[in-house]
Amino acid sequence: MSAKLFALLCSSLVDTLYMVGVSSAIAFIFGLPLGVVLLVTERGQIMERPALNRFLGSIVNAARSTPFIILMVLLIPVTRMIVGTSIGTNAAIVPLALAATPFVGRVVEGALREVDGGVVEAALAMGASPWQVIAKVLLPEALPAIVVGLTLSVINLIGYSAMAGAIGGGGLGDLAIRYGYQRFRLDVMFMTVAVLIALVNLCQGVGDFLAKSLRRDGRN
Amino acid sequence: MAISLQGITKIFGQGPTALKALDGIDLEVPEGTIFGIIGSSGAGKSTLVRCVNLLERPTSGKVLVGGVDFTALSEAELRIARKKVGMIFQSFNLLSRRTVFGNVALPLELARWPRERIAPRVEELLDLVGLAERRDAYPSQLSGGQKQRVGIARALANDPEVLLSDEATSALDPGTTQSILELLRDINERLGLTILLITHEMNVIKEICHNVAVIDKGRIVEEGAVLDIFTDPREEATKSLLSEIVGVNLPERFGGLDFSREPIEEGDLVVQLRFFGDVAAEPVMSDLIRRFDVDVNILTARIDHIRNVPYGTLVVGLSGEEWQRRDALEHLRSLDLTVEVVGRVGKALRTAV
Repeated sequence: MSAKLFALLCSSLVDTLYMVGVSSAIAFIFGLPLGVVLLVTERGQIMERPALNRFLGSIVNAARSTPFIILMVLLIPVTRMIVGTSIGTNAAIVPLALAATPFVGRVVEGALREVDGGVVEAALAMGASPWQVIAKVLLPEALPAIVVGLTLSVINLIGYSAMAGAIGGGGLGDLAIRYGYQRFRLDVMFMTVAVLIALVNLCQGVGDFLAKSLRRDGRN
Repeated sequence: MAISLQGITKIFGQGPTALKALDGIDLEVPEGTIFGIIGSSGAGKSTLVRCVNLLERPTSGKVLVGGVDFTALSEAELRIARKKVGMIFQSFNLLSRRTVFGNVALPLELARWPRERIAPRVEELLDLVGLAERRDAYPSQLSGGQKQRVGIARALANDPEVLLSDEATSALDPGTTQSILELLRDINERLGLTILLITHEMNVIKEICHNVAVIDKGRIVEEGAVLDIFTDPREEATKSLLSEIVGVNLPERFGGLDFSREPIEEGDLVVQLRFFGDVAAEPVMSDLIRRFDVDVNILTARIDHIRNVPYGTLVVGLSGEEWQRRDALEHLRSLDLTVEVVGRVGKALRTAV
């Protein structure tokens, strides 16, 4: 591999890590409370608000059913407003974060749903407020499952970020398209894919390890 | 604190699919007693106990705990009131990611105790339930009995005056059940805690309860002191629950002979005697044989104790001349026994057994 190609790969990897890192962080920050709200406002849950729940649910579903590549295009005006441009890694972060937030929301909701209802009931019987139930019971008990879900989200974002390359988002996907596809540099394409595979495996490994070390239910 | 349930009705769902789980329950649980509610599954007992701390809000009726009407409290007031009502569960409901210590500390954290006061209180509670050396274990590393001890310590953390027990021993083996029941009795005596427990096991009632109420199809069908209910059950639901421990299931055949509930000519009488208290110590049978010249054949028997009072059931075959048997029965009925002629067996019984 030429030094030039190596440098290209490195800078693209950094771009990808930057895009995925920042958009993951944003998606977690908004997705976590979103997931909590999606669960606790459901009918029969500790803060039931059926109307709010349906409203949020339909927005989340709409966002999740829009293909990412379409979402990116649709969001160009918003991206321009926030970042000032619609091209480059910073610009890619906007649609990435927006696409990942509802996904994280659903993932967190699912993880919280797995918490044994009896434990929540026990906390309520002790006089816990709904907020205390969330902070002391739901989130801590669901943490291993949340970590598994967040790993999934990060891996999804790695995939999406490669797609962002198609509209000039930068990163590994951009490299693969410009060199591998448009210039028929198959070696570049394969290298890129290899780096992506390694990256995904690394994320999965770290996520699995974390989740496992957090579990205390006898499954580790 | 005493518990008073007044006209509790709980209906799940609406319209034609609505299910009436509780149907006008009135119940008084005196302060400091262990009160058991027993019923078969689906009788509504779990819903009932959950109505006491309003985990389940009754459709109508009042719940008074220590004179306070829980149903009239606001959410915030109810949360404070609930701290004085501990609860333990069949499935323990411990937090899997907290240690024994952390689980017992939870209610104190919820009540916003300062950290430095939590530790000594938790230690004290763990000593009380005999789990001090397992403080750093996680629930998955504990046995069922140990988990329930953690549950009990947790329920007692806020110094409640009432303890609700929702089938707390149903997931435990008999030996462990026994030790948990002893712990509950100990707590009741030492802390003066009022305990309301529900169970489907008569054995639990027998071991520790002072009073018992039998629930069937959402209604209390029978209620009273445990000894009274056990020795003189009036309702079918009670009798069927009781048959589990006091009763004797009459077999189809006795010693190779057919048993019949209808009179058979020349057959021996099969008499079921239920006795309790002092009469158990008297030589009723030998007395019977001597005085009436009848033959008495013990077919099956069961004797047990409720709070040190013996009680039991004896099924005997009674043979002799018609008048002898009649006199013998009359004599039995004059004693402090419940006598019931349950059927007949063929005459050859005497030689068969």
